[in-house]
Amino acid sequence: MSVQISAYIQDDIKEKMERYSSSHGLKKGFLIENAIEYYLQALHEIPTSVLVPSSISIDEKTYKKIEQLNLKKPNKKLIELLS
Amino acid sequence: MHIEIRALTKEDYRKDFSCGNYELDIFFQKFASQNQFKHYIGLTYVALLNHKIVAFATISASSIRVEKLPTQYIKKLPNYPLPVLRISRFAVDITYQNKGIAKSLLKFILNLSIEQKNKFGCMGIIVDAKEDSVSYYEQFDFETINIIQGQLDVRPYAKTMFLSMHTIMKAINNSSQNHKGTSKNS
Repeated sequence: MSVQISAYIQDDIKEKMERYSSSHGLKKGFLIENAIEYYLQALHEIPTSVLVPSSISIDEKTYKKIEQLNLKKPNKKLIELLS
Repeated sequence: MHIEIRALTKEDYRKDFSCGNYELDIFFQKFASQNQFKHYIGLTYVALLNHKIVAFATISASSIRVEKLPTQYIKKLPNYPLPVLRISRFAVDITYQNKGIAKSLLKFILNLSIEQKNKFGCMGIIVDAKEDSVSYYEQFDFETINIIQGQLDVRPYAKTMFLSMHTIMKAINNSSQNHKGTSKNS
């Protein structure tokens, strides 16, 4: 029996899925179901604690902090480490 | 003391490695090799002293995604995730701690991030630091950042720390200027 699910996903992931779906003639539901199945299978093979998420999401505040960090002068220990 | 640093091989003996943290030991002994040779999801570098593995670091290419940015920032940023190098595991064998081995391995990884910058782009380094390691990374200009998603699934949660590529490059330039100054003086 099939059931409907709903989830928020990133814009670019949605675009990629739609592109793949139309270029390969596959229904989106089929793609999503397969992706989840593969993901859960992978989790059986490797414990989640070992997996490293492929990307990190940050908010505007953290992005501003990173911008500030880009301007930061290196301290003595970092300069020594890289000398 | 000559420390050799290279990528982990399938033949490397890992059973004796003990850093004092059970999870890190188990990761290195059981999963580091699988990750690298079977699943291709991370690469582990090892530091050897007299042919014995005394430290390891697992890294992977990663990215930072910025959510809900105001328009003024969206215009400045490229429309794709920002590339970084992520250090997800880093440990030194308990018998060899406080001997400068971590420093050598960290230096090696910073140089790898520069290589990544030159070849594929890299705006900085992310490290998943255990609470008691935060001060170690802070001394080399890493700073804690808040992330919304993408934490390692470990307990207690690791602190996410960031070191900007701009800061790394400034450090390299400063150190090469210091060298020039020294050679002029000698």
